[in-house]
Amino acid sequence: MSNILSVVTFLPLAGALAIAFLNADAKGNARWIALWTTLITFLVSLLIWQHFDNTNPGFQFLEEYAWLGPLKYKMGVDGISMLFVILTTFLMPLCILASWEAIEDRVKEYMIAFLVLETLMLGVFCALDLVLFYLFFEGGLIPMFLIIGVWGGKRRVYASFKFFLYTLLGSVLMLLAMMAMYWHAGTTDIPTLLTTKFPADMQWWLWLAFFASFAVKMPMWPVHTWLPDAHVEAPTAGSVILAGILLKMGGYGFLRFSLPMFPLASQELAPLVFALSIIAIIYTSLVALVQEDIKKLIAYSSVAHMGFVTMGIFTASQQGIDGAIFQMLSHGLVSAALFLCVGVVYDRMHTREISAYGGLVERMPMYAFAFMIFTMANVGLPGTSGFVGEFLTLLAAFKANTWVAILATLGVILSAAYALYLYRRVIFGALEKPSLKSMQDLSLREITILAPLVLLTILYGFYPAPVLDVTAASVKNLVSNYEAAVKPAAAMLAK
Amino acid sequence: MLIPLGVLALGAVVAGMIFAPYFIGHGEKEFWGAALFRAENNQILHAMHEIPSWVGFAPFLAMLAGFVIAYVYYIQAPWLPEATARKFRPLYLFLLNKWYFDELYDWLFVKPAFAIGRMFWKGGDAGVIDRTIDGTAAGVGHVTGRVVKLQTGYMYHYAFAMLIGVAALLTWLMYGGGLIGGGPGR
Repeated sequence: MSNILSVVTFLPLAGALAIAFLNADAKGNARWIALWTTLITFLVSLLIWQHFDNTNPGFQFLEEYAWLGPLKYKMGVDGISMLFVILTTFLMPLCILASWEAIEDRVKEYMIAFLVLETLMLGVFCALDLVLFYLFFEGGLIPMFLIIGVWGGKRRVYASFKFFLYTLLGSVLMLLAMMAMYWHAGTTDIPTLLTTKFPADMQWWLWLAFFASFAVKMPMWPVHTWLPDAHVEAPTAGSVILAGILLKMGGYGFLRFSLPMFPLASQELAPLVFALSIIAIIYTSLVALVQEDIKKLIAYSSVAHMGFVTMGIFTASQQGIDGAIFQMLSHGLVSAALFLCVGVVYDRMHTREISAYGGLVERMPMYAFAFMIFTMANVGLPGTSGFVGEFLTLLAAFKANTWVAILATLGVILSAAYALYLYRRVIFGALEKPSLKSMQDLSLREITILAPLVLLTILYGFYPAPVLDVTAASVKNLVSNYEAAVKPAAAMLAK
Repeated sequence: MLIPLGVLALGAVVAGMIFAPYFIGHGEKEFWGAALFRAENNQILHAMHEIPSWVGFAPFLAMLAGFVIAYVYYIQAPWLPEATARKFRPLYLFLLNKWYFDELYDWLFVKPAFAIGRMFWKGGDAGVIDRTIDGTAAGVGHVTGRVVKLQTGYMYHYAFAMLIGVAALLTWLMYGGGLIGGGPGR
């Protein structure tokens, strides 16, 4: 099992290399190689999950090699990162399948971009060295930039530049903070840094620098405006990866760096995060309500849902963090599924205008069913995976700050409003538009894509234990370290 | 359809007669057990027997009255409902529209939510946030566009710029204390 994390991380890159040697017009081969590569990667990642020790709160499957002077190539996963690896490898084959017919231009380059992106995303969740993390974290921008900029919609260039510059700006501050951490601690090794105690005033600046990067990635209000544009212009699979994985890197960063490494600053600045989370939840939900573009609506709803994640993380409690991780995984499934659903009708009608649809249930009953499950999960209805995360984060927020919890529940009501309103306008009503009358229901390929997502959404709604068991030990460790770090400071203030 | 309806109708008529003693009569204690708690000095079940007997008949009488009115309105004189509605038009409309509760909610919650949403979207996201960011980007382009014009390629332009720089530096050194600290006056 040694080096298995490197294997899973670089398998997609090997697939990309294989595709690179193909003839430019070998579209079918490029697709099949990409599909098989992602499937094998998924299977290997399942093997890792199977051998993962739930009771061990530390890093597992460690690998360490000398790389660049003080920098090391060091990989490992713990309970917090394990499931993000699985989520990534799980969504990739679905993305390849979703692009099967939708992408006809430059298929070879498209598949290469996706496979390279997978390697970089997996690297983010496995890296245990600051610089290695940064490399993967920033590197992921390039393939995504290309995916939006080359295979995107009409305003793709504006959207891709906005996405790139927004996220890069935040990340540059993070790079500065990483340098400061290296000069203070003398290492870029993440496990060592997790036990390093940074002075309180330094923590403050480091926290803000990391916050600049993760808040943009998340995205948190008011630096969220790149997301709706990026989603609208990206091809379906690009939106799936953006919502499913890339947004989660922000939350993962908060859990890996901000909370455990800068606990004093986290405690001090938690009210700021709460305020921004609440604004995100209410503000973007209201904005989602008035959207006329399906993808934009789902993009805004993503921002609102990420508000629950940041709120949960900075309660710094077991339920809050468990809930935040669960919410991220659930949102990874549900928002990915919703974007796939948009892709299904977009491939047929080539429009994302809500008003162009209506009455689809008459022609597409299976589609209406799948879309309904994901709409319900997006609302956070009990029995779907969306409920578990929202409930746990609200529970933790209620204890941390009752007002935060009360205001956040407003978001639950608003999410029901915009999600059901969207569903009514697209699926129900009279089937009047002549162009809709010849719509075909889901094809076998589309059923293959959506069925596993439907199953998992319901399975994790009723039985969240497989997820929570994996995260429990590491989160418990994180919370107890956090409390130990915060306590002496509180005692000193009390004197 | 008729058989289930028959069963339900039979139940509706006789269920009360059969089960009343267990629910609110002498069998009440055994039936509810510990599920319902009654405080020591709560005498409601006893007090029930002391109300005037017409109270007990009131629901039945109300039903009878409804029965008669319905018979008159819909069978004997079917033109009556329309005439009544015309005569008491405001009341009729008020009841027809469910006390205007839907309109009230629409005015109170739905319309404001959409209006605020639109304001946040067009005003907040597009108006303030995006304009600030796009404006910054455009500003950079604007400034560089001007700076670029300084690069003329003429040697004497560069030489002149250098001369200005040297003059400024000398001035600063002489009067402001400059790099080493402590100007000529100190």
